[in-house]
Amino acid sequence: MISFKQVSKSYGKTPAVRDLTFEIRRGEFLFLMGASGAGKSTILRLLHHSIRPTSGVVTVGEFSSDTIKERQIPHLRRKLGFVLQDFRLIADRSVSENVAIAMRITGESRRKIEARVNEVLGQVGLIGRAREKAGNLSGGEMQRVAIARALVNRPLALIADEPTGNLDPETAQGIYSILDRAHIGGTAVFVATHDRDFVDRAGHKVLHLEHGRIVIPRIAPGTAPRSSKPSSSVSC
Amino acid sequence: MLTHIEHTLREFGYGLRRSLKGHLAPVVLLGVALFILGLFLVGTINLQELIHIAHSKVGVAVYLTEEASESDRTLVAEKIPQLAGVKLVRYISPGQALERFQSELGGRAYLLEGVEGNPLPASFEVELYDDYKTTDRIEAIANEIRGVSGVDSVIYGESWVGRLERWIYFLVGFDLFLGAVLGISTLLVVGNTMKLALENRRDAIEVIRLVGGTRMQIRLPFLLEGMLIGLMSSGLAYLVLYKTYTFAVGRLAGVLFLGTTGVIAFFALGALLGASGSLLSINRYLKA
Repeated sequence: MISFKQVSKSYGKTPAVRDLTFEIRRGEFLFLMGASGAGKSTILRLLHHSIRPTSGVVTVGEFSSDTIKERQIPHLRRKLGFVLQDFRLIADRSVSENVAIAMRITGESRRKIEARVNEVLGQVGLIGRAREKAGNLSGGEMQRVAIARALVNRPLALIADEPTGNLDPETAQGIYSILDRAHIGGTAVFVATHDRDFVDRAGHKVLHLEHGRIVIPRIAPGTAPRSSKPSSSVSC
Repeated sequence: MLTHIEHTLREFGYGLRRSLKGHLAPVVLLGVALFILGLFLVGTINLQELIHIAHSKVGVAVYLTEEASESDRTLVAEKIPQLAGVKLVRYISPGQALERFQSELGGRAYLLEGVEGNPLPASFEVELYDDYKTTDRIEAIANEIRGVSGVDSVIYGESWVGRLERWIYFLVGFDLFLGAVLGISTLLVVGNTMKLALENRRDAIEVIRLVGGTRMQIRLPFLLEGMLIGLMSSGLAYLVLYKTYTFAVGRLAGVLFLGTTGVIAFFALGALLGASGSLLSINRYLKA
């Protein structure tokens, strides 16, 4: 469904990611872990196709980075739902408008947009705040609006970049519960995070990234491995 | 398609709500520029009309020699109408010429009292088609007539015809130059305004990009906004221009104003300048 095949990306002579091969399968929940500068953002930007790989192929549904035309990129982006650390909302618009915009650009009818926006706002627990300006919400609520916007077009996968990075632990837990529910509902979820505790508790597959490469985590002698199952869909 | 229009109009509406106050200054600036251009256009239209009227009076006077015989006169009368560009030929006998001169002198007709006989020669007044009222063509016609037997002299207003033509060229050239200068300045003004509007709505643009909006979906609302600035400026300029015209028309009879096509072109120019300035900024912004 979504795959990286021997993908490398360099900025000038500096390599950001090297020889990445992995898949995000339908309905899968996959974590991407790594220190700052390990290459997590590059992977997300490659998925968004705001950058192209130096070598290798990124595939999203029927689109491949080696054959996709510039004018098709927006259509690829509509197949993914992005959730970012800074929420990326339009502060002076209502919650429902922030969610509806993702659907409106696809040309859906007003009736369908209204019904679907209410549905996803219900899923993230914000139906009562649909008319509130996004700028008046708390950080946790803003992130829930961003998740609703990411889900509104029924994407192949929800791609989240440090979705709890700006939130307190309790609110973060609420966000992960929503991501879990989306996963249970059948949406693939791919989360880049530093939050090792949550990753350990969640028990989903994990990709570890170090200096732009996928690695098997090193475990200190005498300690139990902290990360859960390594992904069967990952080849290192 | 309708829903794409809905997206564009919604974004356009949101944009206006955020940036309308910021658009007032460029609307006034662009309005002033268009007003100045409009003044020169109206001036040119009126001068062209004056020139047209003057042009219609351009003709050639052919004087015959004193010795010219009846057959010479007949020859000239037959030869001139055959020349290309000649619309009408009128014969003025010495007697008619004297009568006309006396009536032109009016109260000073006594000046002719000391003159014995009629000193005025017989002549032909030659009227030309408009296309032939250019310096070169009149000169060519005059040269042909000069060669006919019995013709003493051929007179036409060559110097002022040429001068009028030069004025037209100068004015049209000046209008184009002024249009270009004002056009470039207004592109910069609208471009800078839209740059601020783009910065002001960076969040919305980033969201539209993130969720898969096309470049056209990002561009169109700003393009409409630029057009609106242009149209509002044209409206303002037209209003002031019209007021100036009604003020002037009370003092100068027969002053012309922009016709329907001129008004449409005036508004279209405003919209085009607004949209172009906007497009320049958007393209630069999206490339960055």
